[in-house]
Amino acid sequence: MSETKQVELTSKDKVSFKVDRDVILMSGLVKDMLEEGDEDETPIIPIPNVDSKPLQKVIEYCQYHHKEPAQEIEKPLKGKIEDVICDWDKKFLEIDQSLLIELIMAANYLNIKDLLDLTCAKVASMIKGKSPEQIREMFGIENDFTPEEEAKIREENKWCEEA
Amino acid sequence: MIIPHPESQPDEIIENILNFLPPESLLKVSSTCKQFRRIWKETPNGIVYNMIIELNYSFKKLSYSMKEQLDVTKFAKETICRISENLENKHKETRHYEFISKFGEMDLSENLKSAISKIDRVDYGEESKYYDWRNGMTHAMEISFGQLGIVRYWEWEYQQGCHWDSNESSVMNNKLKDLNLTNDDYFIRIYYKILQC
Repeated sequence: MSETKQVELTSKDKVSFKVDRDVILMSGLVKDMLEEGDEDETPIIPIPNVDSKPLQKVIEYCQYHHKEPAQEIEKPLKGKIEDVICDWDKKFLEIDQSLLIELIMAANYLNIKDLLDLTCAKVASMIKGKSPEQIREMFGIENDFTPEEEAKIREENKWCEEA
Repeated sequence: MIIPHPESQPDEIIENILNFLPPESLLKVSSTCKQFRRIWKETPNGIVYNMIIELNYSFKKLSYSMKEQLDVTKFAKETICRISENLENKHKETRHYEFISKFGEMDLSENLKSAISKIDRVDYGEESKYYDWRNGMTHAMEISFGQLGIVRYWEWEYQQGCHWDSNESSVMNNKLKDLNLTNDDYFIRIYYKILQC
């Protein structure tokens, strides 16, 4: 009986996850690391930038999507993101905002393009139709423009809207 | 609270998020903080809008009316959008050259084409940290449509015989001379393009 090759990932908070090698090859980073010729039975790969909670989600995503490749998401989004993704992804995205942001960072670090697109598109969908103030509040963004700069931007935006 | 400081989000993530947003939302997002505005300016949408912004600044300097500004920028926007349509997903650096070469394919005089192909220098300070070509294309737009070109020509043509003041004329003439263009060459092409739209 041939066993499926596994990989062990260790999160920032030192939690280990055993994952099938085929599954985690969706991560460009892990793929590159495995190609560096590690012959261990179960190679241990530290993921020092990602906590266990988002890492768990990442693995969940890969376990589903390594067999069911995600459809490319339209750019720009015409409607809401929920209109263009599969039911599994919709359920997957039912998470709070802090985890969503952590997932984006994780997908970026681990280089998983489809997951990065999914999570970024989700944020875009949340931003759509919101005012600058609402966006700042939503994501805790500091307004670092001076009042003069803000006035200038308002004027420039007006030209763009009217053109 | 969630993002302690915007700079903690790498630029490429922000850019990826912006790619999913339609133009109206992009304008709003780009008004939230400096990092977002800087990144937006390098997206295809930001490039188009920033050309419009640059055009408007030059019109403003010359005290064109709002209507005149908008007429010209509408035309400029359509042209730039048409050119940028197929360049959306290209890497930043390659977009520059393709922009230039697309302009090269347009129905412009040889002189104007060669002038545009030469314009890829950085020559205004504050913006120089952005890609050379954006400044270059701004200049190209200015030559094709802007400043002392289109609007003055409309007026000039319409009023038949109403002459520019000598200062404007000499700035215009010097500019054309720099580019190896004659007045006729410039006006005929500009006028032809107005008729087309």
